Amino acid sequence: MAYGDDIDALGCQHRWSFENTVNDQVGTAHGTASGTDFESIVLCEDNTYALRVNAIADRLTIPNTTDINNSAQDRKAVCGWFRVTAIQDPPRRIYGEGDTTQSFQFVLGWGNQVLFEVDEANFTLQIFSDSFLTDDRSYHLCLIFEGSSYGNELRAYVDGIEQLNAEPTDRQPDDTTLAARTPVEFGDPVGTVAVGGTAVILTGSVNGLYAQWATFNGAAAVLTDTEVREELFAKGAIALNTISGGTESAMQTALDAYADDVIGDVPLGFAIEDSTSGDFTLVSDNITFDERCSLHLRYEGNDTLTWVNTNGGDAVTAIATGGGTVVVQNRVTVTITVLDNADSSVIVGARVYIEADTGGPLSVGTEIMNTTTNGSGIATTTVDLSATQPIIGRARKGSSSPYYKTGQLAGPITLTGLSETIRLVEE
Amino acid sequence: MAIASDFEIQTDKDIRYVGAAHGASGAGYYTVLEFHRWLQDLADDASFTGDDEMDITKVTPSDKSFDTIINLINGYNIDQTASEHLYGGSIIQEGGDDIWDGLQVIANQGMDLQIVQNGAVVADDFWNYNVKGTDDTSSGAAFLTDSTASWVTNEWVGYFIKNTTDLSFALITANTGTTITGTLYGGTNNDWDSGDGYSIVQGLNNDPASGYSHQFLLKVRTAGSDIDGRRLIGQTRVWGKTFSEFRIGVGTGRGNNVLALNYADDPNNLTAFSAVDTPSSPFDSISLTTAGYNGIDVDDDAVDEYFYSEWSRGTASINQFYEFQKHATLARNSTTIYGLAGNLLRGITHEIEVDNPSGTFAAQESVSWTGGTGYMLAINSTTAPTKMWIQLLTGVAPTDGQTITGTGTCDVDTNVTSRVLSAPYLGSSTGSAISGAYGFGVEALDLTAADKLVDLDNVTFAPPNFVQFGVSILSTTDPDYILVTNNDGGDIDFDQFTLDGALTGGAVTSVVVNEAIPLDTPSSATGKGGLRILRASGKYSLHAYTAWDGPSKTFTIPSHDFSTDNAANGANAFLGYLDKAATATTETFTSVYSGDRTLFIRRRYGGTGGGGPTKTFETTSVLGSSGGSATVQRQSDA
Repeated sequence: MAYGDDIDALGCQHRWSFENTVNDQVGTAHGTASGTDFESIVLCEDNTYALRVNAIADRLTIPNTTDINNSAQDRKAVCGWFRVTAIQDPPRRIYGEGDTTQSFQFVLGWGNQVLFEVDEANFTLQIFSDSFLTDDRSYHLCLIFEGSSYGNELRAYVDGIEQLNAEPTDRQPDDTTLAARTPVEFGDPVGTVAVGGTAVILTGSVNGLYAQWATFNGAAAVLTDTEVREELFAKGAIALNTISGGTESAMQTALDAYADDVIGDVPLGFAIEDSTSGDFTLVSDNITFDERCSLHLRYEGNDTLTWVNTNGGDAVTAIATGGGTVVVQNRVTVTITVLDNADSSVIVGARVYIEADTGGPLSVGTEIMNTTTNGSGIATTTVDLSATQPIIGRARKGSSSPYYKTGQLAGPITLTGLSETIRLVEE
Repeated sequence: MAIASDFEIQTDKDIRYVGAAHGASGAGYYTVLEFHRWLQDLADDASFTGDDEMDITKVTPSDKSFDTIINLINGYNIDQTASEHLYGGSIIQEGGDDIWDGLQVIANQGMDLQIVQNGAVVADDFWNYNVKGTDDTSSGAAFLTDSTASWVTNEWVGYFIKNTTDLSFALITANTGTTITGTLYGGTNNDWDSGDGYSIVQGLNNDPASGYSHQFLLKVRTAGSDIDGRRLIGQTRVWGKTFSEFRIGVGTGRGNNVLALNYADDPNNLTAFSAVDTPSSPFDSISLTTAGYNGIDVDDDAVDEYFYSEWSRGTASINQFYEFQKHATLARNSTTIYGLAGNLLRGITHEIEVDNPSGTFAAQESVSWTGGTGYMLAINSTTAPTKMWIQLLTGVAPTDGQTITGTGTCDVDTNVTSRVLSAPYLGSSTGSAISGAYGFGVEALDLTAADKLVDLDNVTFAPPNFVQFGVSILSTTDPDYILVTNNDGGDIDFDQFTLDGALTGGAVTSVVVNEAIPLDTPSSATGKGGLRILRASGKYSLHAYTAWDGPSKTFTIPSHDFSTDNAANGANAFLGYLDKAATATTETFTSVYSGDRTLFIRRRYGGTGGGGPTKTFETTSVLGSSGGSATVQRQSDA
């Protein structure tokens, strides 16, 4: 299903794909361009063009529409992809409804920090993005308003991640509705507008690019975190790398080409298509991700993909968008040192056993270690884990003298592994 | 067999013995430490194989507190059969709810050991049978044949063998490679037939070098409750052998518990078992005269001592009586004595002062109190007791204030005194005398001075030496008159006594003399003779005294008229020990020996009947510590 259809499926009343058009793809609120044009650039899936606001006076105006701006709204959501090519001279208006008395807007502030604001006679709510928009990097922005008869909160998302740095911190309007506002404008507002209730001159951003913006009203506007993250962001994000579908081994080979790669500040690190091998596992060899990479993996198949980080690989975030399941595991090392409790000498030949206990990702009873200590009194193994794994573990030496009482291991095995010393009491 | 073959560890954590049974070739026995080591050896295996489901993936099966204390943990457990193949310590399981403790028995090899637990003999004495088999040849034979055996010649001499088919026993007197000889007793056939099972009494895990006759485990706690406080008694009661017991009265401890028992030939128990088991003379003359609190004047001082029994040995010797009592309390006999199973009878363990009686007790009966049970062997009054004597059966002895319940009730009044037991319960025998156990009583006249009895006051009494003097061969058809007196130079000792006061009354019943009455004076002269008293007329009248009193120097005589033919103050008097016309060919009297006494004996018959008159026969003879006798002659004086 095309990305636009995924958005529509969530119940939006209006969607402007900006795929070389300003027409409403769902309703009839077609835009009127003033200085804007289209650039052949991919901001999200299924788009090859983006609306460009290339000068401070450029704007795209959406006509008065009841379910967008022209009536009081108790629930409202607006989202879409946005990108700039440089740090802007602030403040710039990305998207806005209203003027100096009411507003529902996305503002680009100092250093390209995004300000999400809803301003009313009775309240002013502002949410600030945790990070700054990087040049030439697409972001998915989303702002959701729920009046006090519903969720009584304002939520903002960047790449599907809720932003919580707000003023006031509770983000609660404590009012039932958002009063009617002046029409939507992408880019430079035609009239006087305000930020925080104070009139501020806002302009359009330079080389601001837009794709797949949509508005929601009423119940459809109450988007969940998952819908924002997985439907609106993950399905639209453009992957830096794609592992094409094929056999498990072929896909592994393809992945191996990225060994030791560092995935930078991108919306999505890897898109992984379905395998012809059914459930499959891909082992990443020291593929690491920048902390600003919004989503590490997107699995598009309908089987189960197990992604195993090895040798320092650190993929964490993963979303399955094709009906399947994706599990991210770390291959961690378990090192158990067995010592004599009395004199701390190493015990050679002690058997160490570890199995999965309840509360972890592995099935209870899954054997993790069953080996004997080496000449240094050490037993080691590796295990692939997606989360901290509680364990039942023990060490024994009962076959030859000196004999020892069974010792218990505490665990758990975390995503960085386990290194534990156990001291056995000689019988 | 190896322990791995003899045991299996099942999925449900049941550890079970699957090896050969007791007595069978290959039966396996292992110390608890070996058992633990085996479990631990398996427990560090990577994965199990075969029927022992134990490896590193399994929870820990056992924990060793000490080499002799092994805990089965995490649900692992053994059953009774498995426990019977372990020794050398304790097995604890189910978090301490079940405990088997180790017993190490110090005794001579071949001892037949019985365990008394919770007031009963443990029926399955598996610990006694290290060798078992089946006779495969015999038919009514006096010896066992097992053609599959390969014994060393006479290796079993001195051991006992049990015919498990007819339940007879025999002391083994010889054996070859395939045969065993011994006189069977106590069974239904007392012989060997093909198909008869046998068990040789040889303790499991015996260790002669260390002095152990048996080593095994006994369950002392089950389902969270100690079995009679983990108290038990080890005892051996075998015909021909010494009886012995060892009580663990405070309860077994974890690890090994020692039972030290004496098991040796009893030189005073040599009679064939059958003579007692199917009693013939003289054993069939032995009887229990009185059961329960009973007075016996053992020392013949006219004051009774009290015992919990009074036995008559009939015509049996005192040692035969001893053997009779051993037989009655043998390990495998079903005899009941005093209402208590003979194989449980041990004698009085506690003397208890009581008060607040209510109801009526039986002379002997079962009693109980909170925390224990016992068998009452004596009570000094069935309705108003102040003391009772019991054998403790289970639990601990009652304490001050506790109520003891039988058919009546009473309370403990302060004092409870433990008493020392003997084995066998009646006491010991020297072969010619017994040394009685506390409270065990025998008729006075069945005792000799060498015997000793201990009464319920815990005082030892030695019976007097009753000696008998007999005169034979007398005629009863032409009845001889026989006179036996103290000798005085070959004549009657006429002035053996002198009267202290004249006898002049019309109904005199007391005669006081000036001299001390000898201690060997028979207590009564009735039917034998009496006191001869010199009368004024010069004759010595005969008075069959019925009693005498030393301190007052007084004889008690049947009422006699001395108003005529008085006896003067200072008149002579003497004893006629025998002073009568013979009614038996041998006339006797009994006295208590106090020193040799020379007696003067005179026999006369001057009548005309029968063989006609005879000459007077006179002689002297000594009454010594073993008695004495004289044989008279009858010479015609026709």
